[in-house]
Amino acid sequence: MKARKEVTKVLDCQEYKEIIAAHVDGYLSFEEGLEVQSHIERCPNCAQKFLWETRVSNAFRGKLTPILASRALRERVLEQLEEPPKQGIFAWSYLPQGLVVAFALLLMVGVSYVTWRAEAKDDLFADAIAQYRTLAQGMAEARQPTPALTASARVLDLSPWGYALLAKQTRQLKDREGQIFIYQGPNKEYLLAQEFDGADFPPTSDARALQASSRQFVVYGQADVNLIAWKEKNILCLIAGNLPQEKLLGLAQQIAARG
Amino acid sequence: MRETTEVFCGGRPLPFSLNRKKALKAEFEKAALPHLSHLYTAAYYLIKDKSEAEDLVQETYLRAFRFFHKFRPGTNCRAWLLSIFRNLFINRYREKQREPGLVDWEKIDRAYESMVTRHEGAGENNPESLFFSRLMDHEVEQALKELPEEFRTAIILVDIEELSYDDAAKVLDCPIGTIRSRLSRGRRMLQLALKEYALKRGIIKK
Repeated sequence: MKARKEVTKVLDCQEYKEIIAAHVDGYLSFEEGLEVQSHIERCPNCAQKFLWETRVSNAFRGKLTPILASRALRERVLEQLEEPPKQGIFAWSYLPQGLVVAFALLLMVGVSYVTWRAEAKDDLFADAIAQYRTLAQGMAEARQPTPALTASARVLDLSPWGYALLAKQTRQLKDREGQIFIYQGPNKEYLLAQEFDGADFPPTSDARALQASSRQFVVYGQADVNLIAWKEKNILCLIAGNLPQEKLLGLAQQIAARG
Repeated sequence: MRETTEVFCGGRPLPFSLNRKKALKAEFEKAALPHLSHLYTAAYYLIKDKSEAEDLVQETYLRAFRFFHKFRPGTNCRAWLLSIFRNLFINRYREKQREPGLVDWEKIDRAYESMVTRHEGAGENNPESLFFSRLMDHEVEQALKELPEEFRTAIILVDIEELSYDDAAKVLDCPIGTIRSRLSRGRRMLQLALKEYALKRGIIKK
């Protein structure tokens, strides 16, 4: 509509000159094109420019063509895709040196939840949230009743809270094996629960450490998905879902209290 | 992170793949890699250095892969990649960019009018009127590289990358009228620059 206004007002030749190129390119609306064409028929000067621009456009065609990217560039691009995408500040290489020093100091004062030495590709929190999204989406798209499985979680058996186990999966993180469980709650919401043997909390300045019920919980979120992690004996437990952090934390506290 | 077992549900495999990263990579390659030469072309004309252009294209693809979840299927992937490239280019080269010099549009317009009148008036069969097509590709490339960045970018996006005016406006985050104007003026400047090349080569006479 804006473009239409530009043409419907009385334009002078200078203004027509500005849009003749767009007319040659065919990027004017039908009405705009008619308007310009009508002017060209009345104005020999603009008609000459239109003919000129049309011929120049044809002459240029073939002169300005994309340059073929080298095979080396293609290989470099493909090579970097082999590495899973880094998640912003999770990647060590993205941490400024100052942060690394601060991080080392934190280690010295005994903050245990930042002792994870995994690379970005082993980013447990981001991975858990990505898994949650994939699984929840897949479940929603399946549109079929899914018979409940028998829970085999050591800690994260959520059946006492009305959650039905829909799927489970084994995942490997370096030499440690973990279990992922997908639950559906009383309000048909999905929840991902994950247990990892002997794993510490992954480092991330995005996460917050909370002390609740004499335990340390780590709270993390990405857009609409939140995650709570805590350690139960030698198991790193985490639950993630499209639920408010307080609700997830409440559930985590109840699970932790059960022991 | 490696998956060791399939997800199953009630003893049956679930109707979707959990191998998300592999699928994502394949999807990204299919959508984005065909535009590699286009990205490189834009980078080359803007940066004017092959090695630096390659580095920035590589970085563009890395960033695009990282944010691939934000790409909306069905929209123009080339335009999306060029938007990412454009942001990286601005961030990296902002400091190096010179302030655009004042352009004497009146002078350019007069020269343009004179060129059109002379060569269009010469008729289609006059060899002088076809001097653009007789210039070498590298001369056109060089003339393009010498244009001020904002006009060069508009020409690259529309004439080389073949983006619509709408997509070019999205890449540059500007109104479509700005694209029209930059393109129109940029082409006029390019034509005048090429006329100089044609004069030097003796393709046309003063």
